[in-house]
Amino acid sequence: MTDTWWVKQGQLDPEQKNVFTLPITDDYLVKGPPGSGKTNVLLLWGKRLIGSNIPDIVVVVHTRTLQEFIRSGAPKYGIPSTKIVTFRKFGTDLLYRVGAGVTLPADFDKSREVLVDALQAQISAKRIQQEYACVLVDEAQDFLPGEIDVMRVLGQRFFGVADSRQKVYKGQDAIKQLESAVTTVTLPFHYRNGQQICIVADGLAKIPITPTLLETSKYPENKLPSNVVPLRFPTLDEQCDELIAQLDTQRKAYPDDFIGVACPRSEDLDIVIDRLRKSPFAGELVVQTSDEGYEAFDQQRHICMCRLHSAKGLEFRAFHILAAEGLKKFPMQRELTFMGVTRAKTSLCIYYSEDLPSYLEGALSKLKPDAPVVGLDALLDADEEDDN
Amino acid sequence: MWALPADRKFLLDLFGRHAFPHAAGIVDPRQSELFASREELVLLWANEPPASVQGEQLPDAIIVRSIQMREFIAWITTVAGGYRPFTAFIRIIDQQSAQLALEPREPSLGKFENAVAGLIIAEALTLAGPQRSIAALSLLPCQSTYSYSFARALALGYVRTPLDPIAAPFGLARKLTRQPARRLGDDLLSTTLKVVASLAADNAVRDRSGVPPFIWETCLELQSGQEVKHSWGLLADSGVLPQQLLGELRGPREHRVRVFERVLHGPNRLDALTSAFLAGLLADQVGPGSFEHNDLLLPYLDRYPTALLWYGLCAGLHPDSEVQQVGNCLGRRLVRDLLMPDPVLSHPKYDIAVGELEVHLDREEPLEFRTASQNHIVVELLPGVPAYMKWPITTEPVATQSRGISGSARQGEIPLHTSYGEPGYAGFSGERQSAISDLDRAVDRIKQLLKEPAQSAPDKGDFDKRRKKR
Repeated sequence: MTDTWWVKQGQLDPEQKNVFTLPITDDYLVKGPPGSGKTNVLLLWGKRLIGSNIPDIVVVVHTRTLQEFIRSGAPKYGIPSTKIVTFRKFGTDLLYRVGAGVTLPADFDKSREVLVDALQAQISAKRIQQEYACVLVDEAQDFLPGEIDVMRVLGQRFFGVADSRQKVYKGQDAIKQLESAVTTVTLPFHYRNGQQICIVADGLAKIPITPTLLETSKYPENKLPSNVVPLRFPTLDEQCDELIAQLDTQRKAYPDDFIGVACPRSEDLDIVIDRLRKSPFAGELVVQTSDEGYEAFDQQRHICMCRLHSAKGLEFRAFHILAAEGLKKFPMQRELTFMGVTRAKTSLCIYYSEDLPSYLEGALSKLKPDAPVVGLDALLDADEEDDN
Repeated sequence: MWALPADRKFLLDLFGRHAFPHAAGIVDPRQSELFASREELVLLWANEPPASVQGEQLPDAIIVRSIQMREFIAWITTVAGGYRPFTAFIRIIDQQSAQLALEPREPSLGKFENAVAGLIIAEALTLAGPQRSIAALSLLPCQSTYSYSFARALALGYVRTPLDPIAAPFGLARKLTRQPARRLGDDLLSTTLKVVASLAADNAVRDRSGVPPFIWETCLELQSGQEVKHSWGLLADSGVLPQQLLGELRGPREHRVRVFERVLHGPNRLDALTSAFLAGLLADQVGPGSFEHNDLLLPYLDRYPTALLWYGLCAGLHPDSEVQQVGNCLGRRLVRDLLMPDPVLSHPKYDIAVGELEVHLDREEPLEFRTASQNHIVVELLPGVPAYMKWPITTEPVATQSRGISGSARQGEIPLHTSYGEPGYAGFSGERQSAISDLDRAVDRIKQLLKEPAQSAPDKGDFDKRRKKR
């Protein structure tokens, strides 16, 4: 967490600096791989607007966890944390403001459609129009085309950051459409993921994508050697035992950094949360679940626990994915896995009790490219009756 | 600079404005033999004083023969009672250190800014007790360390021989101000400081006596930005530690933490000095130069009291050390202060010089004098070299130095959060009692005032009446 927020001039690379040579009067989409500094650029753009006496901006994100995460860093950019909101909050507040409150269904996908329809109706009736000088959108690839359209109408200007490889929610991809309508800037390098993590992330691609994350990494591998560890245990309880042992070492190894713990499935996460609450780390947990609410991030509690989907946009020095076989239960699971793997800066532990998805097994195998081909002797059991 | 050999009578006349330097033959010492004079004193001015009795004539410093130093201070503090402490206004320098002090030289720590910052913070943390945390550490506890005074002496060029120039004055100041026993005594600190001084010294005058080759070679490797390899071989070759541990120290940080714990929990065949150094080195190797793993050492400080010191030194020796940035740039602030110019011929910045302190306090009825803070005193050990100490002391003095950090006399050390001008330290029962008495008296006075009709709840009528009276 210590190097998560970049606010000094020397911390920007030339491509990131170039973004700030662009006039504030246009609409932009900034694309880049995980860890390329997109969110930092977005927040610096917000700081630039506020500094230019354009205070009526809003930063829209997809999840509550990401909202809390960015809120923890926003003050460093001089952006009031209240300006960071989820799309749901953004939309319902606008509707409430014009007396058009809407009751959203419990179903996640359905609720998105209902909210967009309600907002479109008010826009068509000209009851809400350009409500903000600029709408800034983080992880724009996760928004539906209709949601992006609404946000573009409600802001005089639009500034989005996105990476299509990290789209983990089903629905039509809005990025291609957006690229054709706004100026697009690409950040080529990333700084987050160590070499070992890049190898696994690159291995998750269906077809090789060039340049690879490994090729575009500017992570300081010499200073902080990275590490990926797959850990198979018979039960989730034993996974938790190992997790606690790992945390004990990692809190010493990375004393000032955030560590993430996630499960693909809520039911598994509940069990892990319960175990950690009975461990010596109980006082260090920041739990982010829809059942228990979303806690603000702070520098005293270093272990964030959430569903894998909620880890989107976050980054951790060490990241633990437990009950990883649960990935198989989700649509867009390959993208979800890619997103999850790239949350780790330096250390990634993947725990599982049943077989992992084959694409993840394949990606992990890339960590040992020179493993010798097993010969026939090793394939067959020794013949005990040789002597006879 | 201007100088004038003089006797005591002339000095008194200067105070009484009955003489002025030009009449007595003030000279520019760059063109004259300054110390060849038979006079008892040499008076020094940074700038040429006015050529008449009008204006400020007092010298900026007085050079005195070492043998006469105490007697001279006793005399001047008697006859110039309006300047107390005298050395808070005019420096008195002995002839021995005058040459050195008068060299035109900017303070410099060269490549060792990080190393001394690491050492100072580490010493302050070691002394801080169980609640050790860099985040909670303020500047004053760092300035009150021995390492801080030593580093200032190093920066000003006083450390030129194997002898520690502040050892004697620092010990004297502590004794006079009745400081409690130091938890890191001279015997524990000396090797660490010797390594710093030797590394900073020219090759010709390096003194490595008493420094084990493993420690010396490791520090050289760290300083040159190399991996610890050759020096590790010294331990591995003697069978003390396996060579393959070095490989694990190149892996992910989790592996390095495990190596650290394995070595520190394992059987120890090393001497105490090397063990403490190894503990500090292994902690540094978890994140070389980062200075963020001091917590790893805390459980072992009873066994290895100087482990944190070595950790701070190792972390600071890396060319890309981050020591100055820790604790919200605490190290950077310390280095700034250590490098602050303080020419000998400028006005003293500290409360009192150690020589005058001795004159005032080494008697049955100590003389009173004012300090800048009611909580601590800053004693000038050598020109420009301060020592921060708790003051006044109400606890009984402890004559002997403790060898470890588990010594019982802790109450006298400056606590972690202390900042300038804080109203008092915990343990200052006398001061607290006095403050309570003052408060009681103030409350009584307010009660009394409230009873007086003219003072109670003035309204517009009262003001009108007063105006008419005028």
